Amino acid sequence: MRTSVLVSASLGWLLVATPASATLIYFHKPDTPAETVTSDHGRCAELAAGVRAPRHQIYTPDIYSAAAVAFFSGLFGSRERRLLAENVMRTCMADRGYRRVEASRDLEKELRDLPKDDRLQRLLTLSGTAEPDGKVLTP
Amino acid sequence: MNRTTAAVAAMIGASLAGEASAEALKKVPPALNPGKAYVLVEYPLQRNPIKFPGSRTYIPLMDGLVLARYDTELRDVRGLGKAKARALPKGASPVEPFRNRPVAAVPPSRMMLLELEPDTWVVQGWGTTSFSLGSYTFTLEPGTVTDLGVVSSAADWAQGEGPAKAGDVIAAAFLGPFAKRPKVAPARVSFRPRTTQDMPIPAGIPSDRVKPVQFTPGAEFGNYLGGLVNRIEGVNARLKAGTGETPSAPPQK
Repeated sequence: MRTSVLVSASLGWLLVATPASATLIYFHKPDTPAETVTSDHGRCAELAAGVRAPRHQIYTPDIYSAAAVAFFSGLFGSRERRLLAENVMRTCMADRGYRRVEASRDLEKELRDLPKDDRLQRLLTLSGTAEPDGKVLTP
Repeated sequence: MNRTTAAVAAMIGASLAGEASAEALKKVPPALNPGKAYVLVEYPLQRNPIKFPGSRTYIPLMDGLVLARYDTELRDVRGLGKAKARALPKGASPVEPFRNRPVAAVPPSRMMLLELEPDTWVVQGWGTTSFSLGSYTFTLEPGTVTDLGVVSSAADWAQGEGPAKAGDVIAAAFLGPFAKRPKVAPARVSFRPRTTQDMPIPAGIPSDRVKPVQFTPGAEFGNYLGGLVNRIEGVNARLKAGTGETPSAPPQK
């Protein structure tokens, strides 16, 4: 099953960091200047940066158990934080009129092959084009 | 001076400076403090869907309104983010978290009476959801009781999403953190004015000092609660209603 990954240039969640099977999802609002897209992304990324993973603590006198709990707590804590941050981005960008678009195969390949900075610029341009390149999803 | 003594001294100093921490009162004070402002708010309880013998009729209040002092010029919570330069005196907190300490309890509702500092306040959030995208501010005058009315919350699910199904909950119980993570939704909140069907204003509060709240929409601020964000009326609720471009507006009276 393919997983979905929201791409936010501002947060640095770039295509290169996603699993090979991941679907690239980006935000799109027709005919929006790059400055507006950058500003909207920036504001939403700022709010997403405020997310904190809930802390799970288990008290044990055994140092090995404590180490194992700390390891898994950190592991799943970052997953939790990432999912909450994605929800913040989705809600915030939807509030600003953006739709989520699942990138077409060709676009996905093109983005994967681009160097990091160029990819960022391409994503910002894509977010404001007249027509989305891919399948439009629910907000 | 050790750290504990220093902390106690700071608290005493803050209270002497008139910036004592806010309080959720458990009973109506004999006389209103003219230097403080009061907030009255009613929370209706949700009916418990589980109807086993002996189970509760209503679900206890777990979350509620989080209020914060707001800087209308710098457009942020006082002492935080853009308003960092205008911090409150040391020891005073700009945030009033929810505390389940009702002044009156008549099933199915709870009424809270908060003693706060006179200032401009904002509805910062509900639980861990921060209404950073658009919320309401209101002014608290000294020696008065501002009635926020009856507040209720709901999960603001995105289109095509909803609460976890029973099978997913059971799977999560067995698989723990390895289970498929259920979808999450931020909270949204609505206020309505008090009617004769709701809880009466507690005896002992002079009626001439009570005034209904006047909300001003459009307050934005940072995400300081560490959870999800939303617009107070719900971004997804507005999209579902097909009014995605309408500005933030207070509930109709």
